[in-house]
Amino acid sequence: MTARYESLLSAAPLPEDLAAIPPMPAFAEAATGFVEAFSTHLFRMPAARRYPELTALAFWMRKSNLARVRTEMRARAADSLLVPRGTVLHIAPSNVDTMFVYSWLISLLTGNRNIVRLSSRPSAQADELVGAVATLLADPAHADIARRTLLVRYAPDDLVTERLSAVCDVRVVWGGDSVVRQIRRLALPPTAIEVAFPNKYSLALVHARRWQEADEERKAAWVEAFYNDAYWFDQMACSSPRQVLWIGTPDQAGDAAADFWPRLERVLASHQARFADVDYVNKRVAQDGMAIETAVRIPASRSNDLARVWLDVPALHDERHCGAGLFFESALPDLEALRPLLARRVQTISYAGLTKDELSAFVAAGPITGIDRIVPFGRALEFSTVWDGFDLLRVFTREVTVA
Amino acid sequence: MTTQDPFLDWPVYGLEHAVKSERLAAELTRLTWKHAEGCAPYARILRARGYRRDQRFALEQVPFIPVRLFKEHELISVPPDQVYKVLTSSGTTSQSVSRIALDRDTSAAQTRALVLILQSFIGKTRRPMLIIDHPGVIGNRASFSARGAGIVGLSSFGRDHVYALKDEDMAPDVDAIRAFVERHHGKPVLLFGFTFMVWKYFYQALKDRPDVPAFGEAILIHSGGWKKLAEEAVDNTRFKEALRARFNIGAIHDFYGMVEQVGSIFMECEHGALHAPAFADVLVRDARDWSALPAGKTGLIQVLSVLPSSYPGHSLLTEDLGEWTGQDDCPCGRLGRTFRVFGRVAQAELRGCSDTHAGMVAESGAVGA
Repeated sequence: MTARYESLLSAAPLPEDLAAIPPMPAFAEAATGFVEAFSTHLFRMPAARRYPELTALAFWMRKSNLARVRTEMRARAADSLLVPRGTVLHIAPSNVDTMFVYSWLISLLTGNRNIVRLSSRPSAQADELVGAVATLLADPAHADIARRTLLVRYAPDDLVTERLSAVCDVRVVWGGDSVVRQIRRLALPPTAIEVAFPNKYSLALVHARRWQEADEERKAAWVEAFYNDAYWFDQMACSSPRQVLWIGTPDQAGDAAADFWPRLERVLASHQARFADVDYVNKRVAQDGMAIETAVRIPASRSNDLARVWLDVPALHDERHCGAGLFFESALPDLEALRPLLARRVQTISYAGLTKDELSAFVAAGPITGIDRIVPFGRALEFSTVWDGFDLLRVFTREVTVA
Repeated sequence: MTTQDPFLDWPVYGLEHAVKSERLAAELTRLTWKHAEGCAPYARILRARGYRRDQRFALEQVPFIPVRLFKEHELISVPPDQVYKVLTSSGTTSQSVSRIALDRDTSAAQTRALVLILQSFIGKTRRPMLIIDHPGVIGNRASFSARGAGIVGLSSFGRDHVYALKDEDMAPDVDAIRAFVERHHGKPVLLFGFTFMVWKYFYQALKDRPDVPAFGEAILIHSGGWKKLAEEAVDNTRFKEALRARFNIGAIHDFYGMVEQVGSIFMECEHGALHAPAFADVLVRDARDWSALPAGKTGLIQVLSVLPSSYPGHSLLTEDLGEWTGQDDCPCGRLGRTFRVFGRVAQAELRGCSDTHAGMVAESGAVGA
């Protein structure tokens, strides 16, 4: 019995037939032309206006940004001779609906054939994106891309994943720890490689005194930026800040927090859509559970769109986190106090009131476990071709040496 | 043994809302601080949320905890040697079960409260009782499942108990049922079972037989929720009509209750409304800000009961959606709040970074009531 999946594109090739179609050169015109057309298409879609993450994606795909991505990649490749690996299987995450597009497009631009497996979780954004891709790839102008692309959806099924894995040269797994574990069990061709992006946990870092000293305009911009970082994907993205660490004395931290959260609450009151009831219950369970397990205070908030847990002793507690607007917070006397807190699963630090130089110096000053990227408030969700410490350019290409 | 709790002398459906709220609030305030004293984890929650010791609460201000906490933590307010029996919830979607520790006082109060409530519906005489379940469900007496505890609790209201289903395959024990009907022909009888069991293993298994049992004056009491029946498009109205038409069961009462608050159950009256007895009440809260909602607005149900004195379960936020519909105004004449339950809140998809395979469990897992 053949393992079956739902193909989301009409006239898509069979996985077993992909190998017969040659890869393309990096940044081939067919690929850049397709990505630009996709961008234009997204900008015109009324749905894109409803979902800021679709707009962000459309911006990323614009011609000018692609040129920037290309220049960066060239600079990183330097004199290396890089060729596409062949066929890339992307197992897309369910928590960030646009992620499969970034993963797929970087791979496409570097010349690979692609199989993208979408989560079976219903998602309006994913449906909009799939609809757009299907329309574009039905156009003969993009036939070169269409014959190298499979976009599939299936409920978790090892047989299907094995079938797709058997024809790939790279398997990229975006998903939780359990997904990564499950998929790693499934065989790959001996020459294939795998890169996994498992559960990650991200933090916001704010210099308490400098927060207090900032002017109104600055604070308003920071709060808005923090809101976008934390709430866009319901705080479910790996890079969404889930914990706020205030650098300063406990008093300074308390004062800054007392100024920060009411400002965020005003943004929430005007911007934030209601979460599901179960999200609010989950947050309450997390708060009360933490009160039982560790020394915390649970400050009241205006609405449950914001749920806070103040930790007397800073620690990650990531296993307790359920997203949807739940924030653990604590005070750190100085930046150095962050170092012992870190674990490998800490991904993004988004910061306010600190400088790039201070943070670079911190990273350079001693051994560091975890942290894949450090970005200012407002850029936590920005996609980068270096992700979780992996240079995707190198993931999707292999280097040929000629002596 | 202490003297009987004073609230058991309150008229079970005879307290006007204003009087009842005041009495309940005072008793629940007392319980809140009693549990804080006896149960350290509970005290930590109150402290984290900024409650001050010996603060007094109006009914709507009584601190509540999510009922799910009983699945994650052992919450007990009495020393271990006073634990007389432990109730467990039937595991549903997750493997974790609630563990509710009862001391003798709490257990006795539960039994007494249940008697007072049920007497209002079935009178004081013990009726012959047909249990719509299989005898094996009682099993181990030291640790009851919710279903087992419900059956044991209700059994004392009947006599001449007969189990309607067979242990092996849950098929109706037709001979036993027929014998029961014939033996008590013309006399009032009591039937009890879990909603889904009654429908699936009793009604559906018997309805097409030529010799369906025809009861005389029968009361059916059932509970357990409508989730599984909703999948078959069976609601309370259809349930009652079907059982009435096929088996001549005239009086059918659902009740809302949970293992975390055994005893102070919310019975459905002759007019289809769930009623809060004197020692319990319901509030409906908006999940977005926990505000108590007015009548007719849907929200999360909070259940309050003065019975739990061995564990901090006197004020619980459930994961059930409902609305309250009236106060002291039901045509059945019972005073207190009336309400309706719409079912469990939709479980969020397993999100966060836990996509695909974890998702499969949610998609295919069997879900209990």
